Amino acid sequence: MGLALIVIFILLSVYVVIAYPYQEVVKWNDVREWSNNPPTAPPFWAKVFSGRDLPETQVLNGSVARRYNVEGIYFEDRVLDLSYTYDEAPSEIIVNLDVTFQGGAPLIEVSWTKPSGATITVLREAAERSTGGPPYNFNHRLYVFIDQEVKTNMVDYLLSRYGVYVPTGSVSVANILFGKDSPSLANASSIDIEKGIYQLKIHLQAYDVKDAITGFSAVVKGKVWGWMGTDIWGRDLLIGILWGTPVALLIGALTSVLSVGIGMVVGIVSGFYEGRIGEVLERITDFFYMLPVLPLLIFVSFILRPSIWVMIPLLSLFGWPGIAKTARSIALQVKQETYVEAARALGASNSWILIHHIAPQTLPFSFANIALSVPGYIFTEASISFLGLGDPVLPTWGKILGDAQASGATIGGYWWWVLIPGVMIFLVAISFALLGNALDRIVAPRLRRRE
Amino acid sequence: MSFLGYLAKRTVVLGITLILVLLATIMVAGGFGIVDRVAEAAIRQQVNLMIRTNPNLARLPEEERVRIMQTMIDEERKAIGLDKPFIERVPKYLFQALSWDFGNALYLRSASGSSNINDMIAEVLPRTILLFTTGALISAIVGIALGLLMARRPLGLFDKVMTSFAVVSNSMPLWWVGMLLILLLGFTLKVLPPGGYVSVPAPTDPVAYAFDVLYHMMLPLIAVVLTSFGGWAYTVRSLLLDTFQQDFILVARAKGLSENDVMYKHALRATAPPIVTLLLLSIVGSMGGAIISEVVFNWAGMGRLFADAIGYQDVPVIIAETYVFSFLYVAVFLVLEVLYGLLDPRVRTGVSAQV
Repeated sequence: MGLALIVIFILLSVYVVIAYPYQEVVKWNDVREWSNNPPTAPPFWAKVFSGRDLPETQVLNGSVARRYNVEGIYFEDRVLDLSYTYDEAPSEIIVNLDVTFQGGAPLIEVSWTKPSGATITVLREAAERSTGGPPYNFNHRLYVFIDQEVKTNMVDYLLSRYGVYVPTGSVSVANILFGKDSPSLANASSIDIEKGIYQLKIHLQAYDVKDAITGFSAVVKGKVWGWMGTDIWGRDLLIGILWGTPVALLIGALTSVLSVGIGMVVGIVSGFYEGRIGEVLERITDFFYMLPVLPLLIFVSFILRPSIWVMIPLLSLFGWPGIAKTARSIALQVKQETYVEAARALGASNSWILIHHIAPQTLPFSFANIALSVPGYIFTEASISFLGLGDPVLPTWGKILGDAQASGATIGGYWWWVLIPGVMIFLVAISFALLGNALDRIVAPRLRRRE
Repeated sequence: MSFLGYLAKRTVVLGITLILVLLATIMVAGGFGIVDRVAEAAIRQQVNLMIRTNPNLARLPEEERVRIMQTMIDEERKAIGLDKPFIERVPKYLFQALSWDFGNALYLRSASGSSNINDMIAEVLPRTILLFTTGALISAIVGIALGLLMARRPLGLFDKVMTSFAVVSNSMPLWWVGMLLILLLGFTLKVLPPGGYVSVPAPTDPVAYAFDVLYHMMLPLIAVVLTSFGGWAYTVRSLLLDTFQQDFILVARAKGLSENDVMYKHALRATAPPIVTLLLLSIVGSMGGAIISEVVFNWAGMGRLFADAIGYQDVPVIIAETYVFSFLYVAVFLVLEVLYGLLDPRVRTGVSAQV
């Protein structure tokens, strides 16, 4: 069971490293890359719990230009269609406008038509000249739900349509654009969504034949995202969490092999050579055994800012004493066995006995211990990353949980951001624990005697 | 060797351990130039303040003032020995830390507004001890009771269920369970406060204050107990099963003692030393692990202070905290030695404890 899970995790790691190469990870850390994603969106399967069809993100582009002119004024119209059948309004609409013009600033009008046919003016503005040119380029990235101009236009719309005045501060753009037609649209906390085909229109009024709309697209940000949701910067947690798998496995496995290795060697040697060498090694073991591991590791990480290649030896440095103590007691026991005495009587040298009699006895114990100590190292690494002191580039589960804590995920109710990375830690930890327990039962059949 | 002599010897060994840890901490911090940077910044701040508050100096022209400032800084540096190489100053730092003179924090302040690190630690240490000792004790008591039940019928249904629970609960970091509990009990159900040590503002009546702290302690306590009593139960069960295979239990059973007498008067008594060891180790271990948990629960103890110090890069506080944690660990090991001597006569009389 443990082994099967570990194999799955290893396969997953291989897949992740191939499917999302290292550049993707670097991109993952750059929060600017993710501005088109809805922030703190739960995974899409959260729809099941809410019982509502929560919106997914849609990207709108590919509008067709319709150009005409009237008495020296040139017009261009474009329309983006949005088919919307969800139970809630999206979290944001971002409209990207690009206009090129020669001299006189063209007028741009963005409007919104609901399935019922009601049309709302979203924005009316004059293009601004860029430096350089002509031709001038005007780019506008409009955040529809928070833009002040848009809010002012919404106030005007409410006033003209229902005769209701709502101050701009309390107007909800999402409600007005997506709600069923009613005077209480303005600031109601929950609304009925009008389902059907919406149209986002742009209307350009220009003064030169070469003036044109060069780009018109929109991102309708949903309220759910992917398999694992997004964090507060809109990053796809799937990539970060999947990438945490190879990192955690590597840290857990390498660290425990290294520290069990050190512990075994030190323990066996100190148990076997009981004289001065043994005494010195035992003192060293005791010293390391008494160290407050996590505080010291955090302290050292604070100063070194270690990459995982530094982190692994660092964790091992503090991890071996427990193993050494057990290995020592095993060595002490084995040394007194009659077959060791027999070997000695036959003239075997110390090193021969060490390699051929003592080491093989402790080997199975060390396999069990390697598996059993993996969870501890994964936890420790997660704790250090949680504080932001881990590997600066690679995403780890600890780092993701640390971000979650720092962004108030627990008190903000962003459960997916807390739950999923932790479940990954839990699954990896428990698979190694199960494997270790199984090995331990084979190695030390304590209970079998009782049955 | 007498017990006292043995104890004296162990105290010396532990004292040396402590000094070595401290030395290593200072060397690491100093070796990367951090101690110097901190001292430098402190002097600059102090001199700046002196010049700004002195009306005679404040009226001087800019260059003049900068020149005076520089000479004052140089003098200060000489006075505390910053002009000497770091390695020569190590004994001084060591002595300061050993005499619990940690100086002042750079940015952090205690709740009463003091920047003295001793004050800050005196304020937060009791809170950490309160929470994690209580948690460890409850887990131990629940765990021992369940472990006894498990050992009654090894491989029975209860034993199997508890063993699985132990494996599962041991595979979850305490602080993550804490985060989940905050989400569930603090955010969704809103039955317990999601964090903090007392309400703001804190109740003035001491009894109400105590209850308020207790109320805030519930969530962290649940998390601590939930993640550790399973491990406890499993360990106690294993220890008991080991003991059951020893000859004196066979004798006790052969004498016709009831199963209860065998369990409580013989088996449990024999497992007392390892249980005490585990209890103390788990208390001290949970304090080390408290760093993240206290951040999660916003519990203003040693761990939160440590994390804050890291966030603010307040190096003197970080060094002091590292030392206090080391001190706690070593102190617990000393207590352990004493208890071991009392519980296990073999240690006291100097007979080798290896079996």
